Amino acid sequence: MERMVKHFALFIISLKTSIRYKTTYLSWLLNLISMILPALAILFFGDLALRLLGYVNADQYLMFLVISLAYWGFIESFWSGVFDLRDMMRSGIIEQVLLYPLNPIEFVFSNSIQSIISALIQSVPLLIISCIYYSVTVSFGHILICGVVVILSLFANMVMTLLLCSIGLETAESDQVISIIANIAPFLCGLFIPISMLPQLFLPVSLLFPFTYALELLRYYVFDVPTFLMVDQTWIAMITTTMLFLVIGMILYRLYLNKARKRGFNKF
Amino acid sequence: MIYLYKEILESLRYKVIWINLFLIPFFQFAPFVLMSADPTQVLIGLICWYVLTQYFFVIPNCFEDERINGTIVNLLTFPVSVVRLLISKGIWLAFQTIAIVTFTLFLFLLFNITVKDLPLLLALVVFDCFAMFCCSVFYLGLVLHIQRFSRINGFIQDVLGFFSGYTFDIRKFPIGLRLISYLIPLTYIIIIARHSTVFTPVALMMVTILSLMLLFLGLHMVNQKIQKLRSSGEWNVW
Repeated sequence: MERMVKHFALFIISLKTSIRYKTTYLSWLLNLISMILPALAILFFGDLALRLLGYVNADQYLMFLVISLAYWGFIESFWSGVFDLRDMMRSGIIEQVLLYPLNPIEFVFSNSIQSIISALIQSVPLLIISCIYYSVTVSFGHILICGVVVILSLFANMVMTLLLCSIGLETAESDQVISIIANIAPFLCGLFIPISMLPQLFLPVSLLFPFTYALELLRYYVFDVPTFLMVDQTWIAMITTTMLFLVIGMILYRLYLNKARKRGFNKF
Repeated sequence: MIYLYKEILESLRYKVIWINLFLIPFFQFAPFVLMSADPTQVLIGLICWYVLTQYFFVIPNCFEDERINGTIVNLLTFPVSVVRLLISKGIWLAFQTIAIVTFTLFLFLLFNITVKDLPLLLALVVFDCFAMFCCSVFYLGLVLHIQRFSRINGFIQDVLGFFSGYTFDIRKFPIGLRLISYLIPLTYIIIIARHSTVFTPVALMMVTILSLMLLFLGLHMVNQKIQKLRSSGEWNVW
């Protein structure tokens, strides 16, 4: 209970700080829109290969872009916590943070709560606009299933953040590692195009990410676009990869934390 | 030259950043290239826009670290002038960009997406580096005067790319929007790269005129701000 209160206090502090700098929300929203702007440009003014993408019409693809963008906002919001960890290392306060009642990983996740709220603020208007533009005919049951997919993949993302934090403890260039993942993941996870369109070389890497399956399932339940694997296989693969990341993340985090405690945290 | 040499040495110290820099364009552009019915045209547009993003990320932010660390005073008292400093950064960035663009085109080649006239495209990338350097100096001037511009830098890059037709032909734009496009130097570079025609010399001249205008305006704004800082002494109050 005491730990919960401390988490909450930290959350309130970070939320108030972010409200003070209002432009952060705006710039995050602009960044998300920037991500899909080239795709929107192709959709409205270019030659979109709709049949290859598996959608019936351009409106359907537009709707998928907005939904996946809102979803990806949540995914990326967690990763910002890793930069906090790196900042702590750079400014040399991580040793002190280790003495706090909350350990660094809890510290990172508490900061992520604020990022999730930001993601929520960004995604809700996007979803409302898209629903007005294109009336979705999805059953209530499928909406519930989509909710489960999102929650499960958010858990997967927390696990992934743990793994990235571990890398952060080991290497000084962790922000570059995160940047690489943030840059390759939208393509490999099928944020813009289904993974069936990916070059064969990238498929094994793509199938390692739990988000790939989450996007496949969202596409299936909302738009009836066939999944790359069978639907039940996709569910199993999403849960399996999440568990895999959890185990590797926990092992690596403990390993690198102990290593860093022995030889010092500052690598800059 | 010394500054350029130091810049190279410092950059080579970090390894992962190079993997990142060389992989980013391919993974960022691949979805848009693959989703288009005309992948080559999209690739060419995005490559030209990539040069803009490189210059807009580096030049307008070149004083940011110094400002945060409080070392901007040292920088301004060095014998190297700000203009030379910017030029050395621009030259280093040009080498870097050309290498990354070549590597990216090679990666796309592996997936059977080829560019017809590769030497022309690479020559245009070099010219693009010059033009985008000029535009980024202008943006640096804006950032120094209104700091909020640095926060929307990424979005501005996308808006410029959009109006230049990075993933489509601007002839599909309504006439009103096309007028905005013709004010952006990148538009002409993309047009030349996609359709090399008899209008190429005119387009090249337009890019040069627009870029030089922006460069001189930008340098004026930068010098004006630095003089103001020198006289007022408010190094950390921007």
